[in-house]
Amino acid sequence: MSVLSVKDLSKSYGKHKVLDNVSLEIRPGELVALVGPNGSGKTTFLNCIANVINIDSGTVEILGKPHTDVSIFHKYSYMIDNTVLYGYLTGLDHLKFVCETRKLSKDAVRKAVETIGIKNFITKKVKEYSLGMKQQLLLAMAILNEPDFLVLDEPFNGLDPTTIIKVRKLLMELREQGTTVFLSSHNLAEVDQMTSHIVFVKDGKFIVEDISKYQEDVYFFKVKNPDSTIGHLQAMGQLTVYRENGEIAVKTEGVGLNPVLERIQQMDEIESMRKEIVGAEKRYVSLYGET
Amino acid sequence: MIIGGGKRVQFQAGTYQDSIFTEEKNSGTEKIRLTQPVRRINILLAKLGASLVYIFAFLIATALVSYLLAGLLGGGFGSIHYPVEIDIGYISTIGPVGKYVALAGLLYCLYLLVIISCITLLAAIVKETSIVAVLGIFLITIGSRWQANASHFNPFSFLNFQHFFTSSSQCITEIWIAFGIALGISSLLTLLAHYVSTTTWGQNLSLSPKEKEGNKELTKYEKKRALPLPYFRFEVLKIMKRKTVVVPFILLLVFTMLYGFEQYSQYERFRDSELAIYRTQAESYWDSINRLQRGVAEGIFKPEMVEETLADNTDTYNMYLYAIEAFERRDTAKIAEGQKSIFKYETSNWGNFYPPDTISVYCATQDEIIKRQVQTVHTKSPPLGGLISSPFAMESDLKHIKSWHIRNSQPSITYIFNSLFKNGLAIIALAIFAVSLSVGFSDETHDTRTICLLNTQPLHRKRIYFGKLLAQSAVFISMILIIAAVFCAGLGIAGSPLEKNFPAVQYLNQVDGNYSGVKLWRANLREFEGKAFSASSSGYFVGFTFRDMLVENIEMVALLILSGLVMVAFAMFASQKIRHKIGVSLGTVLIFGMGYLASRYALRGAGIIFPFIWLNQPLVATGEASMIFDVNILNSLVGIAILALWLAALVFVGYKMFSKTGRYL
Ligand SMILES: Nc1ncnc2c1ncn2[C@@H]1O[C@H](COP(=O)(O)OP(=O)(O)O)[C@@H](O)[C@H]1O
Ligand SMILES: [Mg+2]
Repeated sequence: MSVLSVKDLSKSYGKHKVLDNVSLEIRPGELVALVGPNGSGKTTFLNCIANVINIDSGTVEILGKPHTDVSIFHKYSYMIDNTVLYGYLTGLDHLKFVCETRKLSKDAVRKAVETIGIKNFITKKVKEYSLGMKQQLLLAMAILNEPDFLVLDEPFNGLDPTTIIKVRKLLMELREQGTTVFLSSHNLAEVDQMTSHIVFVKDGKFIVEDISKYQEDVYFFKVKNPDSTIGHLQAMGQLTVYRENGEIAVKTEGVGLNPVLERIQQMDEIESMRKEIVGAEKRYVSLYGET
Repeated sequence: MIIGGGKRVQFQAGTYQDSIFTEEKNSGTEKIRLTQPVRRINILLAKLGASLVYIFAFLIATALVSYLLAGLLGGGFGSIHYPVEIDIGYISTIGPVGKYVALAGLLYCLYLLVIISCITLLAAIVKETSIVAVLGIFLITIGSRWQANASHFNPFSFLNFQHFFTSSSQCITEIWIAFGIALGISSLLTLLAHYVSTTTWGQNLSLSPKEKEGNKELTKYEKKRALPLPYFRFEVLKIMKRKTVVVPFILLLVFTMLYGFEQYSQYERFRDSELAIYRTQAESYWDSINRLQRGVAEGIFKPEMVEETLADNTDTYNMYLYAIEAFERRDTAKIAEGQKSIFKYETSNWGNFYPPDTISVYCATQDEIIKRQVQTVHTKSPPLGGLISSPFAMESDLKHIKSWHIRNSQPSITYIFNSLFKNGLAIIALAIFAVSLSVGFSDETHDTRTICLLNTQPLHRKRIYFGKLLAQSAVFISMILIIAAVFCAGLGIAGSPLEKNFPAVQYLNQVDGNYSGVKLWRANLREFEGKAFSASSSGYFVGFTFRDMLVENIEMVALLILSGLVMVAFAMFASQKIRHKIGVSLGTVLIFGMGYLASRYALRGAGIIFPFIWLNQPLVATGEASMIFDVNILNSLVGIAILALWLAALVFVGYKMFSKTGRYL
């Protein structure tokens, strides 16, 4: 069973089509990032699946139930941006409210507050919070019910580097405890270290990629007969092999460089060879261009 | 004509201007401005200027439209040299209308200038549009209580042009002094506002006062018992934490209490002044009796010549003496008897000037007071006090009475509570609560998207809608009831008796064959004064009866609460289309205000099916409305039923809409 199942979802604002027939499956235990530049439709997508805004077409299921069923929120949390906070209430007021409407035991509040480390300002009014403080409060509210599915919209916005590391660690821990995490970010560098999958949003479409293939040493070979060589390398199993701009890119995936070199030299002639540590950054640039 | 719309304009002016000042603090545009190389005082002055221009443009437009309409529909444009006569008990001519309008306009502008600077200062301190709006309305309302004391030191009295002009023949000099003083006051206020908004001390004014320790609060929370209805309680919490609701509530509470105590304490004063008037009268009749008797003794008058006058004077003297003795012995039955005879005597002297229907109702009320053994009503200027609450009084008399600030006074809680409604304080309270409470969903959508927080909790749409509606309604009802309870308890502690059986006049639009009371001419209603009256509707009588004033009070409270709830429900409905908080609350108040005017003056009898005419609780509860609109069934109970129906309908339609399209953004 998938935690999130979106089929053919479309959403437009007037004539502006923000999401164009997108589909997405997220399985239990995954940590998926939704990445795209500002205005690409990340928030819109997250709002759609949370049923905070109406969708034009498509179906959304969360934890096996249609997203219109509000009872999913007992085990699903959506951390929206800080415009959902009441400036004239304190952080504690918000936490109490979430705790009570979700029918949690009262010590959940303390637990969340201590986990995020916001005890020293929860009695202040939210309008006196900085952006980072608001983000941390929102996060505390989101993890209060120990959700099975946690969705976060730009959780690192406005946080200082220490807090970013803290939050990242927290999300990894949650994932280890079995929470499925889906977060959005316009800044790939913040998320590419922790996610299993990245969903790129481009022109209203999704490009779902297994990020692991970008995160290793990749060897680029220029050879005489790339087509046949790719076939031979793929036949070795284990390796990830693909073509990029006329070169053969090889991720050794633990096999080591030497067997690969040997194999190519048996079959073909190496014109050039280089090594690159490819992060998701490059993929991002290749999708959206330099900015 | 041109100046007539004063009150309404102030109301609007106040609120437009507030948002010019406070809007930016919410949206952060002020920060943008502050990063520009502009000095703060310049920003403040620019805003002040902007609001002045805005208001004056509005005023001039209104004046022009009124002038054009009056000219086209009325009797032509006339000349600006036409002399203006004003009526302040006597008729006084104060010169050409052009001069009058110019001076009145200047005074009005000065008044506005002072009000605007007050609001500027308020905005600098309070920093929230709706609170400033409410406080502004308060300021204007309370300030209008000082209108009567025309003085160039009192800018509030500038509105009272007529009084101002006649208070001195040196009109022009007075106005120059007023001009200087108004300018001085407003620049002082503006400087103070500048000081508040630039000093750290001033900027810290709006921060929350005490900081609580997180750990302690958490422990406190954990120890508390779990309560039901979390969402409803959250909504109530939100309302109570909004200064927009709590500040006006406290102000209203204080204001009503002060009013109550003033009413109670003035009873003795009114009683004393009434007694003093009777003594003066008695003395003058005693003098005249003595003069006549001396004249007879000295042979100036022949006895048979003065016999009749002497007898008359003696009767009148005895009548006053009877009342004076009753006053001194505090014998309420005899006081009421004495008041009645004096009233009858004095009004018969005035001839046809005094409406006979009013006299009948007054006398019957005195009898009822005697029968029910309650305390008498006193006024500073008998017998005029008998006029002011009568729908049969002539408009011209009431105008005099208004300018003399005549009020009736009776010491019981029931009567003073009743006067809250009859003096229009209840409707002011309703307007203030409507501004602060009937915001519907706009507090979740205006400048924020907190509605999304609600939508991402396991809360059904039904719970969100009804939780909010019930919370707003519960807060409104509690506030009204708390004010009523504190008011009554306060008066009770001060020594005011309850007297729940005080007679309340209940007018009957139709009297049947068995009716044994006094019959009144419907055509004599002041509503119909000077109007051609169709023979068929003037052809029959109306009557009146009495009931306990407590019942009338309860009815009026019920009407007030239901009207408020209808407004709250209306705002819930409207806020799904309008997201602006002020748009929703002021829109609601304006619609109900306009609706009332339409029901009262245009729809009349047909207005009964709308939820507006019931805003004037005394008009409905006393049966006056049933007489002037000629609708027999028009009474409080029907009002309660109709308001309940509207409430149900608005809630239903609002909920239908919310459950269908309620997703925001
Ligand atoms: N309420 C709205 N009305 C009209 N357009 C909107 C609205 N909200 C978002 N958009 C548009 O939809 C696009 C996607 O916005 P959003 O989902 O907020 O992007 P992101 O979160 O990726 O920065 C943007 O072009 C934005 O202008
Ligand atoms: Mg976004």
